Amino acid sequence: MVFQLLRITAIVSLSIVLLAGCGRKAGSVAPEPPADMAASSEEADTEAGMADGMGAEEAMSEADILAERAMVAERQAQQAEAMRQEEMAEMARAAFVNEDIHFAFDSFQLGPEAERILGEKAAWLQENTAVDVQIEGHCDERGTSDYNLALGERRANAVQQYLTVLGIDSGRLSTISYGEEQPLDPGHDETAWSRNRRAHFVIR
Amino acid sequence: MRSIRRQCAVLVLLFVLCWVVYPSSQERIIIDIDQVGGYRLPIALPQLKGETADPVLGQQIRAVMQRDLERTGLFRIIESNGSSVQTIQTLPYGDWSRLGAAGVIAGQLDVSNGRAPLTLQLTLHDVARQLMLSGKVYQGSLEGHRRMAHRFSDHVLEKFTGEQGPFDTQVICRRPIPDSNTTEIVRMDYDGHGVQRLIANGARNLAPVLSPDGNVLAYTSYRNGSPDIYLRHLHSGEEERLTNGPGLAVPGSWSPDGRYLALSRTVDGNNDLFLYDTRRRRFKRLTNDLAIDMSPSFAPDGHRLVFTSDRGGSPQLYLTNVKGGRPARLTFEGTYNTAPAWSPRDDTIAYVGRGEDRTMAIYTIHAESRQRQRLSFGSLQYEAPTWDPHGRFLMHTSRVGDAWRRYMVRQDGHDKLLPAADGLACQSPQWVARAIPSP
Repeated sequence: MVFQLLRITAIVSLSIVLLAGCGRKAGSVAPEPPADMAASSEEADTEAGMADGMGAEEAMSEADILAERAMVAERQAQQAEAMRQEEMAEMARAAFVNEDIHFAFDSFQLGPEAERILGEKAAWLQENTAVDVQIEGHCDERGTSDYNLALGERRANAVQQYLTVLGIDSGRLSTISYGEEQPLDPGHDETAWSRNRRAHFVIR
Repeated sequence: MRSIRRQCAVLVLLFVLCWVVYPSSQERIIIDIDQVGGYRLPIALPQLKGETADPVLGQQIRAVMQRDLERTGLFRIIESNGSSVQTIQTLPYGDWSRLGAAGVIAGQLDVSNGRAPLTLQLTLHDVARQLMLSGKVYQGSLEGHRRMAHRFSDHVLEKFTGEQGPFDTQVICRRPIPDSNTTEIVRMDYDGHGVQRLIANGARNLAPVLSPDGNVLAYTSYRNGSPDIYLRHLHSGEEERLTNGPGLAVPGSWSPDGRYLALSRTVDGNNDLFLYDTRRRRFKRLTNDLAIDMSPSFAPDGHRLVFTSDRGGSPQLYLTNVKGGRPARLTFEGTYNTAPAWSPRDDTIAYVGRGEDRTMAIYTIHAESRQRQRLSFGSLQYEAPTWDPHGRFLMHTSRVGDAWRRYMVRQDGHDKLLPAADGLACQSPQWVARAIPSP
């Protein structure tokens, strides 16, 4: 782009020099100038050349301003796009980490909502191939603690398997069960229980 | 380590001598522990002779015995305030009879400066027959007084019911450290006193089960990331890591001879039961099913086991054996039956079940007859029950409001709240015989 502009500028300035030379030739019908005049004429030529040079410079500036404006605009657009993308990536990452998969009581079945969220998570994992995650399986406080450890593991495994089916390398997905040990919500009602029956994602 | 050494010092000083001077009475069982009804035997527990020299100590000794006996629901301690100090030899049976006492625990307390500063004589009397049933003399350190009292409570229970008492026992439990994601494993007296830390490593530690000889503590810890089983040899302090991730591994119970640890372990994503042979240091698979198989508990014969599995679609109890025979389903009522504990004395199995009314409760079921009994009402949430070492009483934790509470339960469902240890919850309790100090 810049190279092209320079080329245009060079062609323009060369044409001006040539035109000026022609003009001088046209004025040669005047009596033979004295040597100094010739010299001055040469000087004039030079001046003209210089003047032509000035003219070229002015022409360059105009083009340059336009070009620079375009460049700035383009850079701003790029930055905005980068920021937007970064923001979106951050939002996607936050959604990936914060959005849990939920389960029914004593169940590790993935419902339609869980599958929808896991579809999003798989897409994110496919875009972020450098990321490994740990899937935590959790239970509500009801039921007994040992059984809930096994149930939590089943939940984490169910999520891992589903993501593998969606094409994510199982080597990127480790699992761990915390059973009923780490409730998200300390309450003792169905609202708390349903929040606590979850698979949670941690980026490693 | 320090607390263990201190305990050793206490135990070394603690001698128990049978009171041979008195003629032993003919044995007769006054209370049938399984057919109690509402009757509670009235027992008087007057001031000990010599108690005035150390009133706090004397009161504590009597309070320990009173609470032990009352927790069984078999005894009623009658008010005997104001009664004169009774000498052991000249107990006025007529006076006690008029107060309504069927039995009297009398005693004498001597505090000296010797190697065994505390000497405690305790005698048990049958008021109706006007005779002494038995007596004991305990000598030891002053800190040993609670244990002396527990031992005499055991003795009283045995005299009246023919059954060994559960009082001179301990509990292994895990305790969440407030405001952290860590839990420690402790041992304490069954009534919450004398807490000793066994595992405190700044990690989450679960499911402690102590071997029958009291030396090897199996537990699950997340301290290296994955939930693995470790064996801590309490006497030497040595530790073995039994499993090495990535799946879940949780100990269930020790065989009665202490050779095998029954456990649940996830291998290649599949959770099954295994036996770990501590002699040959190898695992033997017991189940092979895609379902969850958890919480194996040994029968006292060391051959059969009960465990939880969801292989039938919901968590239910199943029976198998150490040969890995085809599991037989034991529970059919309710859709959630977990956390079985096989009695150390017979074929009774205690567990947490969800009844027809969909509320959780503690149940017992007989392994052969499948006769089922509900033992608890009222709480919404229960954790695994555990038997006392003689298999007469159960202990469980349940949630009341925001707090977890620990209860001692008789097999007819009579229950009593047990005190919290240091105000902290005791979770996953395992009721064990008192630790024998290392040689």
